Amino acid sequence: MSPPAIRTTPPAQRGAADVDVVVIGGGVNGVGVARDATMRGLKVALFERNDLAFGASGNSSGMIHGGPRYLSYDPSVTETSCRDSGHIQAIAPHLLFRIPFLYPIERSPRAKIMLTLVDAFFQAYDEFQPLKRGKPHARLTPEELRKLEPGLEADLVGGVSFDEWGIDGARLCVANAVDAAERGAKLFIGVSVEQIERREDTGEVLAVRYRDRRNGRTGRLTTSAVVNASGAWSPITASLSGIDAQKARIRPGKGIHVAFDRRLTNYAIGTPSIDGRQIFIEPWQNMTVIGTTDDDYYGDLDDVVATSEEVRYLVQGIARIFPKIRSARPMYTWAGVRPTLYAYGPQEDALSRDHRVIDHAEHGAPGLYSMVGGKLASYRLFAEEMTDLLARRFRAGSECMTHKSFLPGGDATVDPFELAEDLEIDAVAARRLVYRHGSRADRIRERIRERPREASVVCVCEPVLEAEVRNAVACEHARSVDDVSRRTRLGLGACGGMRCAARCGQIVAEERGLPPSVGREQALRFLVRAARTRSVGLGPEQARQEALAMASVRAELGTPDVDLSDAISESEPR
Amino acid sequence: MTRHVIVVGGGVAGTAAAWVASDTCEVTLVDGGVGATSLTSGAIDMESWDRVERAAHLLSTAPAATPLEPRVASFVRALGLWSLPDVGPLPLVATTAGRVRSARGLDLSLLDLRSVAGRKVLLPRVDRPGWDADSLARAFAEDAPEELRLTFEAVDGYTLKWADERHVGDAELASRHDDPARLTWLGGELRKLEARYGSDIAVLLGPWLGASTPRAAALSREVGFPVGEALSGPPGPAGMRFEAARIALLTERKVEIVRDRVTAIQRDRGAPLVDFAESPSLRASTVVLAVGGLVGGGITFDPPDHSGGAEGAASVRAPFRLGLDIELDQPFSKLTGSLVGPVLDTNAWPTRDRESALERIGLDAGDGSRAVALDIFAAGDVVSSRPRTILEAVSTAINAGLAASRSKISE
Repeated sequence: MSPPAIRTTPPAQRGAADVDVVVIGGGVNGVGVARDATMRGLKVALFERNDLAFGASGNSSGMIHGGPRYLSYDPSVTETSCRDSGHIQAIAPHLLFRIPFLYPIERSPRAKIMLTLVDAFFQAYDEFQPLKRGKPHARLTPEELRKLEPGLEADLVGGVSFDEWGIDGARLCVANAVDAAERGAKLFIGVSVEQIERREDTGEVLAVRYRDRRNGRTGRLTTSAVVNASGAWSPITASLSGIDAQKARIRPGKGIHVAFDRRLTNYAIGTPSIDGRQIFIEPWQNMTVIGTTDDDYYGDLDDVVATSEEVRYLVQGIARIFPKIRSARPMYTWAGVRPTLYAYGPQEDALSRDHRVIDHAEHGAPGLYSMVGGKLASYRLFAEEMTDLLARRFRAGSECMTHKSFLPGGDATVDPFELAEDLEIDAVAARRLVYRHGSRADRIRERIRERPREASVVCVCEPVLEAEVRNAVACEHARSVDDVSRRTRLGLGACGGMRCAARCGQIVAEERGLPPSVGREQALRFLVRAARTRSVGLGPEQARQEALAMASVRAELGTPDVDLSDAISESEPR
Repeated sequence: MTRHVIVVGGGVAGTAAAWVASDTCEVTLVDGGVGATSLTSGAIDMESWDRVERAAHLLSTAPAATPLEPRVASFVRALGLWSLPDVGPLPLVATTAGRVRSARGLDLSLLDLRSVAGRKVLLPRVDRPGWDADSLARAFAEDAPEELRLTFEAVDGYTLKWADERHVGDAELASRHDDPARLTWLGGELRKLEARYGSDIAVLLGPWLGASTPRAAALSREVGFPVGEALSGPPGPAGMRFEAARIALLTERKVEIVRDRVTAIQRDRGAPLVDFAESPSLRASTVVLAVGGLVGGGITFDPPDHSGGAEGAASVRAPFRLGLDIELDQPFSKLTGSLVGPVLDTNAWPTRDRESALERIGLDAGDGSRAVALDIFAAGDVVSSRPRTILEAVSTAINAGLAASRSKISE
């Protein structure tokens, strides 16, 4: 990356304002900066208008991959991604799982040359693999490929294997946010910054004005710096300070994924789509995911959903090498918008995945920074670079420690079998709990020891225990059924939440001291929203399940009548 | 010669059609496995209950019973499983999702909150998933109509006898209460509550009171105050109780039950010929199709690119199909309004003003009395654009059953 121009603005006075830094955006970059800056002794407030990981961070492919795709035109991105991926692995080992990849080559006149090129390409990628503890690639014959993955049905000349890491992006965000908050950062979730005030004379940032989207309460917080880490919302956020939105422009690229009800493969498989873009099928947690599209997006960022056309585009591409995908059961879809660096002209796919900090001092707004571009795999490095600038601004001397200091739960391991036996819970539930919480699964254990009833299962599909739902509200800043689902994957199984959403709503309302009707409304909102992500990819089984879920929801809760245009409105008493 | 009616489908529509046709005809009911009615929650509706409540709210009245068609009422009486008031305000039931809702009628094990107005409703704390008595008591207290002067309270008390009952399904627990000794034990435990809370109480339990028949009345008699179930989503014992009741009714009416799947209905020498997966084909005078909608499996959603293999679909066709092969008067695809079927992206789920596209789909059979092909009638959820409710299914089934009994086309 090119370092931003360092302007000779005088160092900001610490302690003069309510906080030193306001971070806008609860995606991985925002929480990464909040954590890093807090660790370096700065006073931080983070604002997120929807929920942590609501945007691209929680709707990614779920990998911190090295980005072999960028190797030929952006080798530095591949290197930084691999290096930072290694750091993430060190600080949050519980959140990572290995995803071995196959890249088969179909028979064609140039296939032999292609295979040689791919082989050489991954030879080069092998150089970076040690940075993230990845295994070197192997060249495979068609027989070997089919032996490894019997579902591969194309006429192949051979292929290669390589190695990547999977991660739950929402959990990564939550872990960073929780750590930042425990170290003193103040988190405002569901609170939208409506204005960034600046001094009339120097143009320096002065304060932010905000509104709680649930209850309408407004407030003002003075600050010496504002970091705009709002991803695809960056131009809008920058314009709240009065500067031109174009000063923080990005190229918004929508990407969607489709989740299937089980692990259909043991290996991820990469393949070109009909228009030559790289798409994949991957085993991810307890399901299979196919992705991803990349299309310029100009719609509402608070309401990004996959369409049935996008689903068909992906299924068609995967079916060429893995035909069984057509008879598999799609469960739901998700969609996000990448805040890619702006460029006019290139195809979406060929855009740089690099990241950049824009110091808006050069636009007359000292103290305002925008973080644009970036990848999940290099969020920590991006946050470090941003925080270095803040440290310089505040003359805060301490060094970045985020690559050495464990994220919550990353410091030790918990044996899921022992946990299952101890709490008399299902071993699968225990394993999932340990995956999401690492050593902090022991805190859930403590909750259940004190209140054994909380061992009861709320979501059978995932599965999720009552104690984890309560923990998400009490300790992980969840405020709605949607939020709990984002943190625990509650309600994302084949039943579509029909058995657990209402119960989850009861718990959330109870934990927040709200009337039960608020929880019920949240449950309906979740059910309708989740149903919409499923209806674009319906197959026979899920359609039948859908009709059943509708009947069940109608019988127990009533016909859903919720307005989805406002993502988090809530009839909460003031 | 007696007319022979074949009814395809063993849910509530098939049962009602067979019941009415058996008055005058010889009836065979083909049952390819339990129907969607086995998933009933026990709330017996004609229209969507929240729609009924909204309409009543607009008129500032309590939702009241509208008269049932006489034959529908007779069928309900004959089945003997549900209580439906003829007139007056609708029953109210508590759901395990925390609502208090009205229903046109209720399975006899469900507690009608209207009938316990003024009482303290006790919810025993039972260590089972989905039953948080404290949480539910709060939710019901908030949702119940004030004029009923109901109070809800979570209480300690034993309702589980064995440790495994913390985990077994609702239906399993319900079936244990089919044992009279067990029911007496439960009564004994519940009576202890009277000592603490007085006699002006009612006890609300989960859906656990009987799998073969509703046990709430017997239990209430035993303890001397009302005891009943809350409504829960499928699968639950209310559906199992329906299964038992329908078999008893069909047996009493001497309806022959064939356990098989119908694969096709052809016309052969002027009459319908029903082909089965296993049994030999049967000739009928008329046929009633009560095969269910999407939930029951009578209609399948099968988009053309599903199962299409590497290259996708060979042709584009409407994505809904009947589960059996039959030549209809109207092509099924007509009902989807477009060549490729409805775009489900936005209309798969219902809203306050619009039914779900998945539920609207079906055969164009009017109120059940219009034939969908020569000598073939349709009833229940397989009929298009009708509410997917039990009483609506019964109503179309009775019309279809009568039409099938009287149709003069054959010979």
